[in-house]
Amino acid sequence: MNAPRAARWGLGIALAITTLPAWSPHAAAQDDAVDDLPLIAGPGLVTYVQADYPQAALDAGIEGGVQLIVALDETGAVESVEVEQGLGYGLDEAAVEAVRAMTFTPARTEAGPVGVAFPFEYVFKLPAPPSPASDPDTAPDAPPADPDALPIVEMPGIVEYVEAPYPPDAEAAGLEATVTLLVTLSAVGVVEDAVINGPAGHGFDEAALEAVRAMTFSPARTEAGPVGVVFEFAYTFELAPEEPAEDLPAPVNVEGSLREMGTRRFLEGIAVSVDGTELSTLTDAEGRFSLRGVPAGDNVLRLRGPEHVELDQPIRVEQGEVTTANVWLRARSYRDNEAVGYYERDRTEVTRRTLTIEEVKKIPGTFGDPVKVIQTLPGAARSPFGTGLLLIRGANPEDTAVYVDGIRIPIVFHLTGTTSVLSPDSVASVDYLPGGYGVEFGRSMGGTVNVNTKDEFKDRKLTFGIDVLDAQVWFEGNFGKEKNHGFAIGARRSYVDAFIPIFTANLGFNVLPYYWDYQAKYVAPKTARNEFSMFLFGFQDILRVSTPEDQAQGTDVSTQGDLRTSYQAHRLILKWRHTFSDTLSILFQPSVGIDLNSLGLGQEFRLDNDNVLFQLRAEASYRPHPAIEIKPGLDLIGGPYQFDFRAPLSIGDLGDPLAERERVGFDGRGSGWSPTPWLQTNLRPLKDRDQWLITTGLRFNNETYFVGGGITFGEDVQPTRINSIDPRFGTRLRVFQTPEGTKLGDNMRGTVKASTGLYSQAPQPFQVIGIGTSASLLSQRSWNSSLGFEQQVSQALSFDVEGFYRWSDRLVSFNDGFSGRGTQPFINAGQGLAYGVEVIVRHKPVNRFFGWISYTFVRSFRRDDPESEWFPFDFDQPHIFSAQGGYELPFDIGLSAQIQVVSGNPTTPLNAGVYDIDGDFYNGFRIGAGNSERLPTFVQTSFRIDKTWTFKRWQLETYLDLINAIRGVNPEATVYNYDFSEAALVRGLPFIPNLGLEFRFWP
Amino acid sequence: MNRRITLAFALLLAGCPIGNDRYPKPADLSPAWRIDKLRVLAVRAEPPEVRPGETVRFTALVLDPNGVAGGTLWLACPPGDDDGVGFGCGLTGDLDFENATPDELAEAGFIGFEPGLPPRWTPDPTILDDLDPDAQREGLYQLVQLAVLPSSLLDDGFGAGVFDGDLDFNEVEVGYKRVVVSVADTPNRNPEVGGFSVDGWPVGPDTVVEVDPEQRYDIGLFLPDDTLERYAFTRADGSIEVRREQPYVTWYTDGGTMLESATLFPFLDARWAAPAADAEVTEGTWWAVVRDRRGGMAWASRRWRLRP
Repeated sequence: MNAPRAARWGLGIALAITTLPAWSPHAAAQDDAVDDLPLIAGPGLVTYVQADYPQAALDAGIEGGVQLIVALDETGAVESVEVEQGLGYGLDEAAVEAVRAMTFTPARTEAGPVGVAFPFEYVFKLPAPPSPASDPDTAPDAPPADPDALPIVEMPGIVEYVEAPYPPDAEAAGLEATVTLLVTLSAVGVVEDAVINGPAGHGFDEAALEAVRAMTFSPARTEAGPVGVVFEFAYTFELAPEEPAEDLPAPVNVEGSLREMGTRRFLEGIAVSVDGTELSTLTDAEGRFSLRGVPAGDNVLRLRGPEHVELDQPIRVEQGEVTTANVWLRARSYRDNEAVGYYERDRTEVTRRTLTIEEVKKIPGTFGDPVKVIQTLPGAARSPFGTGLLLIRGANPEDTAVYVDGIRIPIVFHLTGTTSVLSPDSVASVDYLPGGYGVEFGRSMGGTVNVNTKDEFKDRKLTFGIDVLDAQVWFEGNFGKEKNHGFAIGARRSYVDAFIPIFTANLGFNVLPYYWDYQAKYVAPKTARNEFSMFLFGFQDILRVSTPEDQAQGTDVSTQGDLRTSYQAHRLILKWRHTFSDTLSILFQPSVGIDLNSLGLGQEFRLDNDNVLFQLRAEASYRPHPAIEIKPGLDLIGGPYQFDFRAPLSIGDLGDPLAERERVGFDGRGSGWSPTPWLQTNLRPLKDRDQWLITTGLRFNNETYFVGGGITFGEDVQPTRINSIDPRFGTRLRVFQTPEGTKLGDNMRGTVKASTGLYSQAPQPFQVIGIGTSASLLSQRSWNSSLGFEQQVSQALSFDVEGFYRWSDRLVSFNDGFSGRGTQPFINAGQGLAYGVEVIVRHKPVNRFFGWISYTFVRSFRRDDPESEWFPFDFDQPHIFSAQGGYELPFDIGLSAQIQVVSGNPTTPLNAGVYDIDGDFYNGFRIGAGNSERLPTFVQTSFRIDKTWTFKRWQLETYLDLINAIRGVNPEATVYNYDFSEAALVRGLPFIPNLGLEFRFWP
Repeated sequence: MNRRITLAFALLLAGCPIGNDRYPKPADLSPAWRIDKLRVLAVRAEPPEVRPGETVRFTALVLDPNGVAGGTLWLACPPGDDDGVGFGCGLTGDLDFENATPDELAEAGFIGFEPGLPPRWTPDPTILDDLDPDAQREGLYQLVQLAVLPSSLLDDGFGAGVFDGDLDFNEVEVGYKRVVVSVADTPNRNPEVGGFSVDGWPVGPDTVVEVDPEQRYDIGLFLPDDTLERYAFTRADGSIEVRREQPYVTWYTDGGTMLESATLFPFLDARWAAPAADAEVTEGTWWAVVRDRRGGMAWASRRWRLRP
């Protein structure tokens, strides 16, 4: 008795035969599936590639279909394309080239994806001659193009295959047949109608019709979106050949499982085949596989998966025995977030730059720190060694704001300037916004850096890392019945204070810096409407410069002793996002924190400052129309503060060596509050919503400072209120995009971008506190504008050019009329000017290579009042060049290098001095204008080599960073001898050979 | 070829410097304690704190190892010239220095020239009249400036090149000192040096101390008890506090290495390392200047010689 066999099906294409596109199946496919299971889904065309119409064929007026046989593997990749019946005139070759470039989803049986071969017709149709009625230039009233008239770029695909019952009479009579149907499919993939086009009788027609009507399809698509189509469908009834009794399936004689090295995850969907045979299978969800009839003797199992390193595993099969092979495969990458956008916020910023964690990690000199790498990007000036200042587009360091998940923090780098205050393991991405950002960020005239912490923790992973600076531990994972509660906890402590004394033993003093930080995060299970997380982190930086008690440090008694600074901050951030509908969602992010700072020198000088900070970032997103997004928000920061200042003499006596020391000081307490509402609209007026973005916004800044305590000296000091409004505008317009299928590559985009707006920044808290008087300072402000162009040149290569201009006024400067109590130390008299051009050329991590070249030309000037002369800003670095790249060698070895060449900082030249005989010191003469000379150019070249060892249960990464291996002079400052007759340069960045180890376990 | 690669790699690992010697390093700068050129180390005003109308005489500790000094010009800065703190002052007005009368010179601030005219200055008797009694007791500063001029500047006649604005301040040594003018009940007096010691042993003024090459020595000053004055200080709240001077010493030498260039009361001893046996300088001098932090100064010196 012949058993009925499922119909095999075919896929073909014929375009524009009628006004409706048609899809006409052809002969039954040659099924190459690894087993005999019927196909439940055919291959689906994902990316259609338009062939070039050969000129010879155009000239000869040749059109028609090229009959091809296309073979796909189990991943859907095109293995081969053969011409079965061609047209000549170059059409055959063009069709083959186009189909080779197309992408497909694989065909599937119930056991999973399988390879198939199927006939494919590529139709060339001569372009219709233009007619006046169809020419948009001559027919201004012509209706918009009918999307149905556009070429089909994606054919319908079978989503659910329904097998027709074999007609009993036909089966009994041993009849086979193919029924041809015309299927009318809606734009949403619903079979609206099906009629018999080629009947076969014997009950075949009814059975096929019923089955096809029950099937579901994915809709056909044009460039404009899904469209309805009518297509031809062939349903073939075949009787399976009667299997001889002796043709029973061979017994399973090889079985086993596949797991990923390190993570120990079971691997699903890995292709397992026996070399030299037709035997192959795929692993199931538990990573298991089994093979029947593997020949006895020595064999090789070929293990192939797209995300894992290929492995050929030798096995020996004994006759009559079952061989078990439990094999470990190494993942190509162990970074969960390697595809995460870096320096990329949502799409409303005019300027955004993207790097991946993998790239950042490999850059020598960054200590693997994702924030540190900002200093290699355009717009960022070089920070003096050990300071970690953010110097963005010629702005002061304090003009750039730093956030963690949108909550402001005081500093982003530990005091060594080498690492950020958050462990790299906790960071998902970093938004680096050098300018042109929207109104949701404020209180800063310069750039903005927002560190986004991880929200997803898939596997349990324990990481322990050590390098020359610090040691850190990090544990992340999930818990709960469904393992949908995420958590992470980590800590880090530096130990530079342990070995610095070795190098400073003969200097007469010890510099003992150290830092620690911690992070803990909880992420609640996500639902369709709610996301909630809680993040607690903190850090402390301590610097102690100690001196022997019997050794004088200078001649001033009151400054003898240790210098000690401490900076400590903690934050708890709650984050709740609620989605009401597709058009309305809110983000609510409250935070509480505390900053504790102290500075002490000897026994006499001390400054302590404690701040409690309440912050709230709340925003809503409302999209009444796909082209309009309205975002109101509130950015609040405020809280109580207190400080205590003690000094051995008053400010007025500084510089007088004969002044009697009398401890002076005052304390202060009060609070500052800044509830700042903002409103932003994002318009996307074109049909392609990503093509043009117009962002406008208003930010209503207001700050109020209440002052009390000893600093008022009993006066009735009124609160200081500072208000301002910042209008901002930004736009991005994609001016061209290559169509899919071009030789350059798909979607090569060129985008013009521009921004302008006002950025206000209140004076720093200590500046708005008058001494025994009310302060009356205004917001400092900066009008920032930019214009740029960015283009993706190929899939790997892109560049971005942007010019900027910044005008600042009302900058806080020292009040020359300050005379102590009752007067205001600071006034709004300063002005600033900065302009420049930034360029970055980037090669994404493709073909084992990544890298970027960054160049910034920037000039930045200041003046203390509108009447005085401009002088270069202290960190004015006209030329900032950096190039960095890495290459991945075999055996998990990576090589990377970096070079930085940066103009030296300005300096004020001094020569000779006058001796203060009472104080035993010289005062140097200035021999030029302020900042009129420049330190030598900074040059540093660094290298890195790393190697990763992956074991079954853990992984070890080792790396050697040779930071500043080929040194330039690297000057940071000019120092003079006692009488200013000689000058020397203070070297900055030293040579740092950084050997690091990172252990990763998956418990 | 392999050796070249090995060498390149070794240089890389060692962090090879490029152009590191092109610019001087901070360690290359000459220290203040080394006397190797014309220097003014101290000026003693006698008395250091004067009453209005009282005359002050000045003595300077000027060292000139290369013998370039031609003379020292002394000037008194105009009253109230507080801006001069930092850079002293200059002669006021246009003055034909060589043909000016003594009154014109005095009017311009000239108070002496050495050798020949020992500096002396008398503050205006009415200088404190505008102050309230407390402020008069507290007093005010008057600046006195000296400029040690190289003989090359004086060859063409006194004043030429000094006052024409072309003066190179690296060729001259210019310093200024504060003179406190007050009616204080306990005006400051200069300290006195009671003795000099090496490794705790007293060393007389005429003694030449023999030292061993590269050995370290503790050199110290002895200050008599009565030189550390007690004085009344009026605090900001008006209360009176009796304080005792806490002087400090700055140390200088023309050979060997001064390991501490300043010492603070009560630890006044400094450490000094003798030069090596083959050093260019095999004998020299230690100088110590005492400052009482109120404007009073004293100094002492002793000779040393490297033991053969």
